[in-house]
Amino acid sequence: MSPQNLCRIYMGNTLWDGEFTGFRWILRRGHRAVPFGNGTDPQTIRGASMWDLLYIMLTVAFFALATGLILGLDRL
Amino acid sequence: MEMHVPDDIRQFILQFTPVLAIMTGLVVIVGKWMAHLFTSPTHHVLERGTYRILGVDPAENMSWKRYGAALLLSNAAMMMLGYLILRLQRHLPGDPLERASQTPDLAFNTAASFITNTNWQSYSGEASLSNFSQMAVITFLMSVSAATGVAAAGGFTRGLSRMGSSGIGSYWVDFTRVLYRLLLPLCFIMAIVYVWQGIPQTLDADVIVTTLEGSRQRIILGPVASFETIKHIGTNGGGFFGVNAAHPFENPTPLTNTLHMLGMLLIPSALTCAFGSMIKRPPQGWFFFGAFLAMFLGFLTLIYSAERAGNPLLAPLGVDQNPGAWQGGGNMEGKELRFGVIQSSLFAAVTTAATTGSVDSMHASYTPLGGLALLGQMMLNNVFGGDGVGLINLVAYAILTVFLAGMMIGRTPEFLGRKVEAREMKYVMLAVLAHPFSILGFTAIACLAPSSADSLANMGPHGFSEILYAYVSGTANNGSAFAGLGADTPFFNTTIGLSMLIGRYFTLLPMIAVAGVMASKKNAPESPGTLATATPLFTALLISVILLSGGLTFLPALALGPIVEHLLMLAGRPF
Repeated sequence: MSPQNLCRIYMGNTLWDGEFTGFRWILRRGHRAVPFGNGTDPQTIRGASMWDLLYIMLTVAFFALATGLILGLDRL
Repeated sequence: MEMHVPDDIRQFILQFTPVLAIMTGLVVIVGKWMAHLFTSPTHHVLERGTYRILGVDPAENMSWKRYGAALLLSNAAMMMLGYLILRLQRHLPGDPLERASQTPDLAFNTAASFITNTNWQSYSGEASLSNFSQMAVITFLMSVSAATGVAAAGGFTRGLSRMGSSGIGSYWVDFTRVLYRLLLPLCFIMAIVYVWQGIPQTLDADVIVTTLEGSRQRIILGPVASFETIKHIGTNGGGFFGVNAAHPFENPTPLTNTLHMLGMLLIPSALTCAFGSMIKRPPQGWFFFGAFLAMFLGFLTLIYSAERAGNPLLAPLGVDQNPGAWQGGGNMEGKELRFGVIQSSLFAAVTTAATTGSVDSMHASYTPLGGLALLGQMMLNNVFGGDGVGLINLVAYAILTVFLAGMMIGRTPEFLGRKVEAREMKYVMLAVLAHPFSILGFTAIACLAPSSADSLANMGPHGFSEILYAYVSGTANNGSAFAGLGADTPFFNTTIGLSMLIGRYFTLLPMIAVAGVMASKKNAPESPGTLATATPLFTALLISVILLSGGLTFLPALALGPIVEHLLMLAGRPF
């Protein structure tokens, strides 16, 4: 599975097409300021690697889950 | 009748006894120091300055939720920082060798690995990381992850020592004190000894030498001595060089080999004394130390006897595996001549017990039973265990033991003068079950993934052991590798990274909750029917519960890997 397709599963086509303003801003900033990728690599979108976004989101999701564990333990 | 002890066994006893004797002596000194560190009302100048800069109130008595959240979110921030530096390495200054940035999946794996005190490495240190990354990511995360674990043990023990309290202390104070008063001084002293022994400590990236054959060779250098100190004292284990402590720059002399082992055992063993001192029941600490030691000696004996026996498949090929004047004998595959079977077995037993992951021999080359013992220590995860978490895991099993004993005689279980009720038992079970859930779940997924076979150097039971070992090592936050698994793939980097995170936080946070609940309880006066926990009987019961629950959970997986490999080896089939 290509990273683009994987991203479509997680985020929908809107991100890839740059329709979602928030992500578009991040990607545009990434293109200017963050030296990930080169903008032509199939694994990059406008300079920022899709894999980077995925792994950052995975990390955030894990720690959000662990925070949920702290908040949810009282209900056990 | 005089009993004859073979020379090599006498050598083995002579070499491991001093290590354990010195460790036991240090338990009291370091344990008392840690108890003082966690209970002292005085803040030093440097600490006060740090609190002021960070805007921390050192007098805050955090609830377990706040304590756990501070631990978790500070770790999350540091992991993200590590990830970014590893991804930007190529563009950061200070690397004349211009080493490339890590790929996203590898950077995720590395950052998760070092923030969780695992130090699993899907990369080779000297080839992948600049000196800046080695210091700013690897050494930094090794320090803070060890401080996190020890601080958690301090807060946890403080919770168990209190009654009718709404909090378990300040995480920031515990973290700062562990860093300033324990880890940094110990590492500073140890680094000087390491430099004296010949371990490099320089910011130079390399040196070009002319070899005896006349060719030119690049020798990688760096701040290795400072790296080695926190690597072992912090029960981290990731190597500066790819072959870890088998590399002569990481481990140049017999003294450094011994100091590495003492460094790994120092804090996990001393925390038992600190625990006894803080809960004002010193014998309890010693009985926990006894439980650690008894399990360790059992596994050490199994590893050494399996390695000493050698590989029967080599005998028909004319390979002499007997000890003699010119060799130590035994299974020498994957072991350095200078360490031999004795020092390799001892080091392997220590590194898997203290969940460090530093290696001076290649674990995949151990005999099946030797490999089983290495896996077993990590599966139990409380044979000394990592800095802080080993003690916490042992206490989880102690609570489970009093619960089981209470159920058997029909009494409400008690632990350290408080009743153990349904709520904390749920937390304990969550902590205990997260470990096998991660190991067995990810191993099953990896076995089903079609791409896994491409990463294996061996098929059959040894290949299964390679996969199993990876997730055991990751979840137990050990980090040692059963060489043979090519783990630098997006699948393994991601799943092993997740197993490390689950193994760290989903076992630690519920136990901090247990401490918070226990701290809020009132004293339950002991009666003649109370099960005393500081006795040899309870210690034996505790060890039995650990071994039985570990055996019932993991025996089927072990049967598919090292056990069937051992039987096939005896039948003459290698893998």
